[in-house]
Amino acid sequence: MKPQESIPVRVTRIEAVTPLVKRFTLCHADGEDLPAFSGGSHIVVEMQGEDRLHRNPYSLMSSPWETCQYQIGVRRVDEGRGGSRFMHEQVKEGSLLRVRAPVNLFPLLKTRRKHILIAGGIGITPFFSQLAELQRLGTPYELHYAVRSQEHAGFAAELLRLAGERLHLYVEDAGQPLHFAKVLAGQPLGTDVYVCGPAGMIEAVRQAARAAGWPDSHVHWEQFLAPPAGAPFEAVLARSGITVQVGAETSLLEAIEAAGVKASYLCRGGACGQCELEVLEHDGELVHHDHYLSIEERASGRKLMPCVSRANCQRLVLAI
Amino acid sequence: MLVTGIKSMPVYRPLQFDDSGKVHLAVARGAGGDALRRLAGAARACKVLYAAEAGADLTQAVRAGSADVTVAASTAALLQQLGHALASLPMGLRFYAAGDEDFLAEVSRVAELHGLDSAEMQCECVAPGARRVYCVHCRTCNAAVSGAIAPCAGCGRKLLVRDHYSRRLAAFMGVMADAETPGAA
Repeated sequence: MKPQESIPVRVTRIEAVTPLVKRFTLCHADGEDLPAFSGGSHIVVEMQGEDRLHRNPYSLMSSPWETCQYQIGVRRVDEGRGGSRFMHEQVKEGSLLRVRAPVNLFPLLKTRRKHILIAGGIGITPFFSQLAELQRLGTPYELHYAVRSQEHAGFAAELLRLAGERLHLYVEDAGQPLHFAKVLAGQPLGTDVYVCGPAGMIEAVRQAARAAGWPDSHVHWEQFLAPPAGAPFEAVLARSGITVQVGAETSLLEAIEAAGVKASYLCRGGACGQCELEVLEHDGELVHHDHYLSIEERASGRKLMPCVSRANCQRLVLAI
Repeated sequence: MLVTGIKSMPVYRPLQFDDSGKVHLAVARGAGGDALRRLAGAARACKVLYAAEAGADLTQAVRAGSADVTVAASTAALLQQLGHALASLPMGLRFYAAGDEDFLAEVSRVAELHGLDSAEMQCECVAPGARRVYCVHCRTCNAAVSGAIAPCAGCGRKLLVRDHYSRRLAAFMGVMADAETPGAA
């Protein structure tokens, strides 16, 4: 199968796990096996809404040893662009969706001697498939999982069954804060930390690791951004010879796709770098939102990640 | 047909104190003690393990340079002490090693076994250009080979030293240079 080809899937089960999170079980619509994946992988789910096609990345929560189904956890974001609302309101058991083959931007480094997994809220999802791998590897690990309140801890019972005493649950409004420095202190050589959760949590873990002398090579994190809204702008696609209008709520990548131009992508969340475009000309400001470009690349004004980044200028010319 | 840019090749550079680390451990053998003395000048607190060599005994200088020095009676003893130390040290360690290529290969192997990667490890080679070469024909490890072609101490074949480094054997690969036309090389 070509990586760009999407796979038809049927929703076989929907579980309400917390007031905001539903877990969807997806099987191949034709009963075939789904592509294999490794722990930490995500898929992009395509949802045909009334007026637009949503494409959202979701981490796979099922075991990598089960290719008869995929499971994803979707947190409903009411102020978002509608993808998660669509999943919560429109998608029923039996619904048909399309997904892209899994991609892993958050793999476990299997040569390491110990793994510390830190999750905040819905950030727990990629760790489910990693836990399945860790159980088989037998490598020591700890899972630190923070939720806002007990009602948001819907996955806790299942995690306890998987991880046993390696699970450390922190319920914030019960006065159980997660102190990152304490978790990282005294860990043996060859330990890696993985964090997935809100931006503030990721930054705090990275800072705590740096402060404790951990090199960046031992610190891994994943966060998919939703494309932020912004002022509408216009982009000239030089190679295609067309001009596209990017609306306030649309991403540049979506505008390019809607115009029928084939653009490459993997995560659609500013993390992987696959959709990078060369900027040939611009007369204003490039508004970068991604986690991928370096400070130097941003400063050069020559590169833009159209999945999440925008422009604030009269004229923007892209090499596509 | 010598290949360059091979990732497995060891990287050597002058030791530099890395103050992003919280705990520091340095090891050296023989003439490598000199690098430790330089490192000690910049270091705050650094635990040191040293083994002297015949013809290169810098024990006194190393002792004078650092407060926390353990002198090992042999390389084997040093490696054992290193293993003990690494087993109990936490993340945040920076590891420094200085000596000839054989020594660096041996300590790197111990360090990697304990989970250290290149971001936490620095090696300074005191005899650059002298490589350990593994003969693929008779499996002899030839020490301190300089130049691209050298006779094997085990089988006498003229070996072409390839830029193909084995971390497991801690040696470069040597293959018979004139296998097609013996005597030509």
